[in-house]
Amino acid sequence: MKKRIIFILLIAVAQLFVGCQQWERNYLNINDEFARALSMHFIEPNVAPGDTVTIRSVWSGKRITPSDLKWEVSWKVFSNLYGDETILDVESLEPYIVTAVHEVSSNDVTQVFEMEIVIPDSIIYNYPGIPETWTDMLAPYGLAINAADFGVSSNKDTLLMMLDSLVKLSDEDKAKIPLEMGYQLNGLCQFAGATFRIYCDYTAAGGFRGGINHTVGYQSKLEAIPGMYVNNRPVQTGWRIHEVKGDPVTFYPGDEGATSRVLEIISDSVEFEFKSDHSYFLECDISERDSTITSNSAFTDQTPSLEQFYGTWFYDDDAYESIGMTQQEDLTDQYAGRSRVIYKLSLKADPVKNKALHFWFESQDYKEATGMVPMARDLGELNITLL
Amino acid sequence: MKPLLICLIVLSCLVAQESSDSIDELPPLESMPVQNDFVNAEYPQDLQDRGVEGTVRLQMLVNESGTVEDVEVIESLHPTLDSLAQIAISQFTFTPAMAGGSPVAVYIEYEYHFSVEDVEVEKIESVVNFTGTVVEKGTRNIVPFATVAILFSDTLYEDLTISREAYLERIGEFEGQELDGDILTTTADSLGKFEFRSLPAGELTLKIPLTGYELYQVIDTLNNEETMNQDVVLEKLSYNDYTITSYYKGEEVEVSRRQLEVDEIRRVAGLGGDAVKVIQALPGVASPSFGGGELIVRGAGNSDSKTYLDGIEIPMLYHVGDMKATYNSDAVQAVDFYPGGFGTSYGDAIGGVVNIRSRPPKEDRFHAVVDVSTLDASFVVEAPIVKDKVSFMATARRSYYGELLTAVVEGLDLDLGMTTTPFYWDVVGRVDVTPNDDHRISVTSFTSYDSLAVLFENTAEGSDELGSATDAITSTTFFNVSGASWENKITDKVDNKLSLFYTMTEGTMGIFGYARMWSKSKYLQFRDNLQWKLNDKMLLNVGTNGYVGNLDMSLDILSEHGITRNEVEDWKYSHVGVYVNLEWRPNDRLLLIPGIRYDYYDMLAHDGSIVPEFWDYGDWNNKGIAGDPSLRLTSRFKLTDAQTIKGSVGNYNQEPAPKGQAIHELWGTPSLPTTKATHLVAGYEADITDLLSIDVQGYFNYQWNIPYQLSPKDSTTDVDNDDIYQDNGKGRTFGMEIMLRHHQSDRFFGWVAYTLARTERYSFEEKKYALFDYDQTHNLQVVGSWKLPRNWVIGGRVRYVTGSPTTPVIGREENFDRHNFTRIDGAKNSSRLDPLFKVDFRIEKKYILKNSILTSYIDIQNLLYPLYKTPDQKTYDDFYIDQKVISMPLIPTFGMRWEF
Repeated sequence: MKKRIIFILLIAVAQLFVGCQQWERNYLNINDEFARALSMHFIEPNVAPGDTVTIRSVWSGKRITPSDLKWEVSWKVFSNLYGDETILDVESLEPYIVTAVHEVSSNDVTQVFEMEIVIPDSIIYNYPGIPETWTDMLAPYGLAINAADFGVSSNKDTLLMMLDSLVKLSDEDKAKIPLEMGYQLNGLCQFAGATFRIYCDYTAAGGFRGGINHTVGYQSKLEAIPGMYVNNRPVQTGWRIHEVKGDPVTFYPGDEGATSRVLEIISDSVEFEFKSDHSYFLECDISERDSTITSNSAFTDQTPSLEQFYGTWFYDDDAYESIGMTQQEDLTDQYAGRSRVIYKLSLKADPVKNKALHFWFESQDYKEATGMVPMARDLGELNITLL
Repeated sequence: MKPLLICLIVLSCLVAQESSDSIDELPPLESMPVQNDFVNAEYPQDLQDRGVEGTVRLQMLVNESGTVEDVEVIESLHPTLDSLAQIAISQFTFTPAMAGGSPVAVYIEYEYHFSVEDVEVEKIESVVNFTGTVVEKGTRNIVPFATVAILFSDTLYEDLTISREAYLERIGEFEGQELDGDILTTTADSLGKFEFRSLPAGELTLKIPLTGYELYQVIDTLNNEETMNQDVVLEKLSYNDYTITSYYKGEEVEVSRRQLEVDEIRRVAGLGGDAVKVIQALPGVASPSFGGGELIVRGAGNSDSKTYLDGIEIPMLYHVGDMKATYNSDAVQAVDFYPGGFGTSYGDAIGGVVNIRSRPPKEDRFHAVVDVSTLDASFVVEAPIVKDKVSFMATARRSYYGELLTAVVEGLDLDLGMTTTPFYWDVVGRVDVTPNDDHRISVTSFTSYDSLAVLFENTAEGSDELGSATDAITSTTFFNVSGASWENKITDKVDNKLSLFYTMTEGTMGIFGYARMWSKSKYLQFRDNLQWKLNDKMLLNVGTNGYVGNLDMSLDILSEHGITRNEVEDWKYSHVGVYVNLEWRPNDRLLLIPGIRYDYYDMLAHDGSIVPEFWDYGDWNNKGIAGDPSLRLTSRFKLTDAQTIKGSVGNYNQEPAPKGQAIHELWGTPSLPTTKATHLVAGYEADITDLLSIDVQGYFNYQWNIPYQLSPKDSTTDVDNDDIYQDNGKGRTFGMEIMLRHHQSDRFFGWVAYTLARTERYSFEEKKYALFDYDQTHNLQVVGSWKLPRNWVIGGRVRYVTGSPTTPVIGREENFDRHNFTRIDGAKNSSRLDPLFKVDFRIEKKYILKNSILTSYIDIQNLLYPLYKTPDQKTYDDFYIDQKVISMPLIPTFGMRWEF
């Protein structure tokens, strides 16, 4: 009787999860069904009003041409306290294009396009996300700030004019500003910015319409001020694979005793034999881990902290069926100053062997509670052949 | 020694005439002398010892005054006995014989018996030597007024000095027992107690034939020395009559109240034995989504309907996952459900009202119930503390289905990418004090806790500085409602019930590292209702209810500029409602209940209405304080004894929802007004037969001042202000409900509930009314439960519901930064899911033990899942191209229940 009840229960549980099977399509799986945008990022992420900036887009899947792409922009993107986003006045990007989109490099599976656009000078002045009394923005974040303490008006335009005036100072003069005030100015810049959204419609190439948000601020123009942090792009500089005995969940590069061998990945390719009694960790070096300061701490304890890295993997069909990637926890504490992200590779059932499995990895930096600090990205390619 | 058993036999009579008139002239004899008293003749012991017995035949004259003269022996037995018989008979007195309307003297013959056995019989004294109590097997309930019979052996009883028949005849004359043929019977009293007197020692058979019970028969041997006590345990023919929980059904006065007996509805399939969940099987209630537990009544939003326990609001009706109600059904007496058109006793609600009426503790003895199933385990204990004065009840329950599922998943090594660990517990404690018939005080403490965590593997979303897990969605809800109710019969015409309850709620929520909420609220709830019977036609109710409390809350959201952190400390809020209504019966057929109510909300900042609004009257009426009046009228008219037409009209209001948040200075719009509604109901009800009744209702509900948040699309259209919550939302619902009910018969109960409805909300984006999320055009539910022999019960529920509205995906937009797609919606709710079609099944079997009942049950939800998968939700692939329907699976629940 007991066995029968357990059996019925198991049947019921199995029924429960009938709907949990995989979808045929997955965002991370790249194939010829659609053209796909793997990454769209700004080469120089610190965008200021009036800047001319380069947008790089990386494509795969169906091949596309620049003429397949239709570009639009909204310079007025803002959110309410619940995170609901409002996007106003979507218009053609054409008037802002300085250099038309063009292909800069490509291989069999990847195309890289770039274009240059100019950011309107008045974008922040016209930005509806900043109320006329800009100090109203601070209250929800627990920052009860008296504008007069900073020698500025609580009026939005007056604040922006003050920042414009600071921009016009020479770098020498900017450097004379005390660090404490520099932090506070950094904090102000995290509020006195604007979010815009670039749209790219690539349906003509068998794809979709998509968009990406980016921020405009004064940070890059005030970089000479002490305590004024800018965000640099996390460029990927190298790869290696660590083969580790057993099945640890995490691995740190300092655990040399556990490492059987280190496979340096040359020219984005590597071949190796997956041993069932070993684990494999993929390490990606990233150029620089920036310090930054959060909106709150800019006005309170003024403690800078390091940004974090995370990333997104894309797979071709064979790679998707063969290897899974799991990012392990951030390494900030253990290896401060060493910029890298580490993923554990997991072999799926019946992987494809003796064939190059193609992966793309978009790395991204992030620091929460930093307001109008831009996010920055890079994308690399990797081929793994399992022997 | 005292004689005698004497038999008077009038053999003949002659009218004694001393006159010389001829016989022919005598008037006819109209009546014979009637003996008034009897005198025992002495029966000398030596004659008894020698066995001298027999009959002395005598003749005597009964004169006109009724006294005896001239006693002569006609037939002698023994000289001594003859003489003694003469002496005794001479002392007899009679009512004289009558002739011609006058007393006359007559001669009669008389036989005086001298019997040794009669003497022995007379010596038998009335002594209780057999007692017992009749109780019901399993429940140990007292069985009152049962006829208890003793059958005697034919051959035993050798100790008797007289004949068996004479002995039985003698004890059959004793008080409280009666001899019928050869069977001695008595009747148990109201407490089930019975006794027999002077039963002969030896073997006897105790037999209790009682309708509805198995024939009880047991053979016992009684000895001379001691009194036998034999408790009798009767087994019912069927234990599915559910007499364990009493239920009071008063005269119906509301238009839309629906009542069901608790023990009846606990057997409804698919409800897991939960009495409160039956609401989901009634007309007017939308079928909830799987695990959602929403209470959508006649198209009102989930927060528009209020749930009460004995008139005191409880924060949550259902536990997480919609598996059980928070209040244990074992402590429930009845559930009142008002889908709309309710009277002025309830306020701060524009939808429906659910009032759980709790059950007082049983007062006869100690009772215990233990229920263990695959969902949860619970127990109930209750007992009198001071007989008829003080009694208590305690219940506790804890779920473990989450742990069970997790164990099974781990055991099967299933990789679901997530784990979920829902659980709940609840505790009820209650003490009732009844100092006298005019007062009843009950003290109750009710606590409930729910926890839900969905942990996703390989996930780290949002900021770990927010304080919530970045790999999980978590939610906990705790509340305690403790207080006392005092029912006071002030005079024969005035009753009052006062309730004071302290309520504490605490909730947490974490959505990865994006949002974290904590809130703690403490408030005092009060309700008082004074009922005054003015005369036979009018009953006046005056009352008040409300709450006074404060709230501490923190809400952190990771938003564009970082973590938006807001804390509320000691935010005070209160609501007071006062009402009057009059139950007026101008004649036997008509009942009118006009009522007025005023609700004041201290925490609102709006200008309230001056006169009751049945639609939005505009600003001219908004000149009052932060509250609104309500005017309601209910009427019932009996067409015949079996048919009634009814109707009601009323306006309603409530605090803007979400409670506290909608009017919060940061997260909401402080100037929001109350949300308002008008209910119109008309109906007809009839008793078709003793067991079959029908209730048909039509209704129209209109709501306005519904708070809502602007969507990005709205904000780009015609709304031009910075308020987070707008106050001009509006909606309407109209429909018809039919409830055809077969009341509990010997074998069956059930009902057919059908709702035809349309529910709409105004879409500012489309500038027209669009279907509400829970619009369900057809909702048909067929429920039945059958009692089978040998204490088996089977039941089923069949549901057919029009598929819920859905908004179609007409496109998609890619987010290059977050690497996902956002769906682009078509017209809101312009398509529907496929219909809901589900069959639930329940089977239970009772095992009747001597002092307890063991019940095993299987409750299977969605039995037809392998054949038809009712769509509960739609999900899409990453591109919003392919879609999949999620269906509630087949959910079996196994359980055992032990009632002591």
